[in-house]
Amino acid sequence: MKSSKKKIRLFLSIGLFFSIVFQPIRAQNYINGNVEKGASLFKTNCTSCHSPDLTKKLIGPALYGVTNKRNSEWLHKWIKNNKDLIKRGDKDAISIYKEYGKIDMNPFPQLSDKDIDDILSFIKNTPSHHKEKLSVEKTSEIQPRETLIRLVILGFSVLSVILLLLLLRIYTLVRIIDEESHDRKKKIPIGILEKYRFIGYILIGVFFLSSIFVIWDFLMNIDVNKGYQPNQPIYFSHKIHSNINQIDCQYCHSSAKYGKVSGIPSANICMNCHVSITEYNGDYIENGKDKIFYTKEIQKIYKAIGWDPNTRTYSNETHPIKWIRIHNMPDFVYFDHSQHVVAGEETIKKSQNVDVVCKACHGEVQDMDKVKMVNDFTMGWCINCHRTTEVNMDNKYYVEYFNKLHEKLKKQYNGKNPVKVTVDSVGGIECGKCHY
Amino acid sequence: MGNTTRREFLKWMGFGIASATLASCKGPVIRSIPYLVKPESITPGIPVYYASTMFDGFDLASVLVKTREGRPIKIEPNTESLHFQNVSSRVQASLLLLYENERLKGPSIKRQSVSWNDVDKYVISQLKQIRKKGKKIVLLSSSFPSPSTKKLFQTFEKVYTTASWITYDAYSYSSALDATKEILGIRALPHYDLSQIELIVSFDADFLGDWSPESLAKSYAKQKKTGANMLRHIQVESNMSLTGANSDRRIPLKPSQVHHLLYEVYKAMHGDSNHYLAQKIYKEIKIKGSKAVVFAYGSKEAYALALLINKKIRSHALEKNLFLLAKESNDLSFKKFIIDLEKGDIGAILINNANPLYTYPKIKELKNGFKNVELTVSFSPKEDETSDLMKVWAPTNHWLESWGDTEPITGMYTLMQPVIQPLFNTRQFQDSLLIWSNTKIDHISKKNSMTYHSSNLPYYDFLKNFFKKNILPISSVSSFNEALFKGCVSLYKEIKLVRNQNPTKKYLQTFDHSKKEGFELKLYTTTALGDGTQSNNPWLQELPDPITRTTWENYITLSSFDAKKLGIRNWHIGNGAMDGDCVYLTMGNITFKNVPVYIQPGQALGSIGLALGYGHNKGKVSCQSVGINAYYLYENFNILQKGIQLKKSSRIHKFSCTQLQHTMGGRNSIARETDLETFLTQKKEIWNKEEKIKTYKVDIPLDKITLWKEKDRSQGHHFQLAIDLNACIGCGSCIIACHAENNVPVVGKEEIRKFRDMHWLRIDRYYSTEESFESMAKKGLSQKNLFYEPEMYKHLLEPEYNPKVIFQPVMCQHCNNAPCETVCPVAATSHGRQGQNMMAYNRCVGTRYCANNCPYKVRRFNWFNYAENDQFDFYMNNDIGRMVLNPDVVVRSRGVMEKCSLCIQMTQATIAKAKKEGRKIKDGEFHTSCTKACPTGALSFGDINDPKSQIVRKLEDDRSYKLLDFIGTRPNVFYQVKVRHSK
Repeated sequence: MKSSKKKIRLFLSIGLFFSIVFQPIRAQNYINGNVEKGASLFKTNCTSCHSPDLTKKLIGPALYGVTNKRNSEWLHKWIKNNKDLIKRGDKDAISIYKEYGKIDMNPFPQLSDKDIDDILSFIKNTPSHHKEKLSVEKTSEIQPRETLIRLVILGFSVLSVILLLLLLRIYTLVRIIDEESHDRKKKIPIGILEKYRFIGYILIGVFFLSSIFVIWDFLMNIDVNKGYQPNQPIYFSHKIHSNINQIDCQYCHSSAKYGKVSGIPSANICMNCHVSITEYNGDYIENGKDKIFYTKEIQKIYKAIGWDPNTRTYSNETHPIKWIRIHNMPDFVYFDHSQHVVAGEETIKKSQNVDVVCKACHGEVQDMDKVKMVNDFTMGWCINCHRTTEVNMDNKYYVEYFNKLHEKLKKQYNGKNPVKVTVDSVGGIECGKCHY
Repeated sequence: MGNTTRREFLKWMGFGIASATLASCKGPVIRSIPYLVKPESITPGIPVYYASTMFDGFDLASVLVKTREGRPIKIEPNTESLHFQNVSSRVQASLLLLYENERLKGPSIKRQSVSWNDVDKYVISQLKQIRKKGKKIVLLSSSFPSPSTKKLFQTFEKVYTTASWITYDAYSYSSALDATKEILGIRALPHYDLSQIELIVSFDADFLGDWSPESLAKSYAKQKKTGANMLRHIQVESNMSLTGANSDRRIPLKPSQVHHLLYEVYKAMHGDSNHYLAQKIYKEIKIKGSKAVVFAYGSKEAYALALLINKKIRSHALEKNLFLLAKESNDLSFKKFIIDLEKGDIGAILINNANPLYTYPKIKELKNGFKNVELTVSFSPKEDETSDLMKVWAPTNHWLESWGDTEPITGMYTLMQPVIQPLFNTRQFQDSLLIWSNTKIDHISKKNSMTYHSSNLPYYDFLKNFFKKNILPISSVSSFNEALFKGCVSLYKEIKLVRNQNPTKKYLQTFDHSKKEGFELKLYTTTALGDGTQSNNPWLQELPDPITRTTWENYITLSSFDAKKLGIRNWHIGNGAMDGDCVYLTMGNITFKNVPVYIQPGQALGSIGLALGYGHNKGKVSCQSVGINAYYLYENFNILQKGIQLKKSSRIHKFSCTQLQHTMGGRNSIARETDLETFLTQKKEIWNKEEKIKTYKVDIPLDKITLWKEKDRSQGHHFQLAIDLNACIGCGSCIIACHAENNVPVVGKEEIRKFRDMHWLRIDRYYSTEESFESMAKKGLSQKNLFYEPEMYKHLLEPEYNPKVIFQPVMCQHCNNAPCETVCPVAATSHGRQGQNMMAYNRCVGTRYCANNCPYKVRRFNWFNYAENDQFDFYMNNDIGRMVLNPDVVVRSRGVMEKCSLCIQMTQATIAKAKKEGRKIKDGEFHTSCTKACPTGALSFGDINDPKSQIVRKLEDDRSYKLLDFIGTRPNVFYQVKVRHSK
């Protein structure tokens, strides 16, 4: 309920400012303010509803040029307390208010006149990007890669043709040799054969061992997907979100601290921000990509959740996003995110030497444009960590149940090593703890 | 094979396998689809509980529903509720019917599927016409203790003035209700409060079963607490019922004799009986005075006499003056309805929660009657025998999708709330009635004519308003939401009783003493199926009957003496299964061919028993069960029928029985019991002897010699499970709870017969024998003499005529020194520090060594894939059915051993919660699925490293012992000796 009210309020305040924009200019404005200070004030106070580049209508209207359309005195009053203005019967204010559903913009009594002047001068002095069209370079970034792939394939086919030819040659040669073999056998002195037999055995042995090794290695890597980096239906860059914009992992993966799965964020979480961030304006652009590419990806969220950014309404036409799962535990493994993220946070960070607990397994996700599986995610890998990571003896649970374990381990190891109470010493590598 | 040589074949096969292996080495692309807009209350992986009321027309319980990601997956008792918190096997299993693939997917008229709007238009126009003609409109329903629905029907009656509500219960409580009406002045079953009772004398009343709509199991077990004032229970009955099996003294008599004995006891109370047994029983009652209570069943007179005795002795059981309103059976009104139907007075029949074509003995009358009815509407959620004759199918929701309320007992009101959107295009019958009583149907928005959401249906508002207006002012809660949260509210309303004058003599006069040739039949409801409402439920079909331990079938129970007379046998065949003879059963002009006979120890001479609820001809699962429809014999709503003739037929029946041996074969230390006097006066060594290892010098205590290295378990948790044999009544709730929690598969009748049942938890039933090792030794048939041993066991395996029965739940005993672990070649089963014996399914290669080495025979092998396998076409074989699976427990595949895990997923969840919150775990926080479901508290679970816990007290109690402890397994499950109050 609360949130819906808030939403309505926000919508109306857009309406209000919108109407302001289209009001005829009534008075000339004389605004003297600090543009830089205004910029920062604008960022902290206004950008949750108004477009930061002033050119787009978001929750609030695009403010570009508002200083030309309205007189500054009126704007001061409006910003400080628009309700009061309406109450006092200001015609413009009321008409805006009525036109947009009778809910008002948040008042800002905490802003001084100077502050408002700063903001207004920021608005006034910001050049519009409105008409500045981003040069659309049609140089497709996919092309070079495709040609590379084609080259490789061509190379392979040439090679295979050569190989085939070679094999044919060898085959004919062997046939010729076979025909002559009777004579040859006689010609080779037995001594030489005896002499090199040993080397032959060694060679066979080496071949045998190495092939066993290769097979072993191959088998052990079945379903080990380290390095798996699929293309996702939406090009979501963790680098932009997590690194550049410093969004906490658990803002989106909010189930991680409660349940066994960290949760693929639902699209409504994206909309928390992307309701106002409709296009990509960041400085970071990957090689071969451009801003329009990123903006298009943002549009995909709107399509999925059925949001029309022009009318700013949700339709019922939704298209759930089919993400490709990268980290997939088999059904017979029970892994609980919350226990690692909450109870194990401190010690996991310590043992894996990371600043965020998630990185212990998922790696430097904040530097990935495309998420990649950076670890084996095999049982051995899990167990290794359980063997080396200490349990958090500050946690009252462990204090309560394992207070004497340290003493016991000390005795067991004759006090030689500095004994650690690791996860495996509290039963963390028992089969049934993860397999049920 | 043609031209293909062996070499070539091998070559291609090798190549094929190699390429297939290589191709399959690449993992598939797995897609994950998150919510678009995540509901606030749902966190993936975290269960959400809702309080609700289970009501399906027969059973009623105040429950908590566990949901995961929006799917209900388990039913647990609502401990807030004062009454009806017993989640029996049926209550829990009703969950499975929500996900039944056979449910009707939408409404239809004459088998043509239509929209709800069409149904509404059709029904309303028809109803209007019928009203005009002045013909009757009948709502035929089971007992429906819902105040709001009754109120709702009043508005329906106002619109359709010829409408009336006929209550029809398949298993009728009418005679008991009538008796109570005449004696206590209210047409409701009295609530018996056992909290001060020390003697129960029951005449054929199966009060741990369905005799009372609210099971007395909990208070019964409470009174069985060992001590000088322990409850004594005398059961006089013909069939061996669950209640009789729990009694301290059981007197098997023919039904007519049971009633005669009651009659004599009543007369003895007035001092004019010469009946020896009656006098003896009365003497006991007299000594206990108001601390005694008498139950009876079978006829109105019997019920009345029992009530009169209770009144006379001022039994404490009736002191609370509470009445159960859950049952409203009315045979008279139904009989009137049948007459009206035959006359053709009825223009419309709406049927809810009733299946008269299956449950009413005179089918032809009904069928003919239905032909003349213009409008027939079935609210049945799936096709049944009756819906076949119905024109309109307006399927109602499952109770987990419904709103509702009940007043099951005076002073308590419970609410039912949907925990999932209707899975199919179904609509609650209350909504249908409300919509139909509003003759202008324009208010139904056309936009939503195909699918309804609970928000735009009228019953929810109706219920809420009703609650606010009528219940809230006299209740203990302040708002509708609070009531929903709690699931039940207590009321301050009191029922004033109109007491009748002494009607005693009448009952004595009308008492039925008539005798007829032949057997006397007592029809009974089984623990699993009850009245048969849920017969399409595979969990219940496969739940072994607590007494006979058979599954998927009903049969005649017959005493061994009568069987011998008739030449009927039960025998074991080569593969270990049981076969039995069949009979022709004749009653009046009804004859059943080839009814299987189960020879039941303890069955009274001259009597037979037959279970209701089987023999459906609709429903995939129901049809897989083998049985006859005993409702054909349920004439005049009387469970007792006389003059039954049996004749052996040539047919041989194949039983699916999970336990064939009746007795412990003299090894009475398995399920230990003692009598109260010994227990109170003797030392522990006498009645709960500790086993010792015999050496050539002295007997050594068990813990002195061991093959295994003892581990230190002082740190962390050490779980143990206690099973109190004194409290266990064998009801089987724990088995279904285990099924639901652990995704235990259903295997079907054929597999059960091969002993491939998958129950992780079984309840063994043992009968007492006349002989023991000692008595046999006296006769010279000693164990030491090899030649006499077979002869000796012949006697020891034969239960006595009137055996004492003991139930023993057995699951994996989680041995500290586990024999299974030692023999596993791949270390798939290993021991945890916390005492749980762990089974890593993905490691198991299926050698089955462990099962062979397990002394308790609790390991179960997956002979097949039971999921997604057409050979096992139960709930796991379709997408909807699989929604019931617990996502925390893996579904095992073929070739893997499985067994009880002590619900490690539950203990781990509790531990994880405590770790996250950084705290100690309180006593009582640890649970397993079975301990949560146990209605009597016979099963309890806890951490013995917590010295103050309940479980430690139980472990240190004199009654505790471990099963087969002389083999040195050191189980983590322990039992408590049963104490029988036999004099």
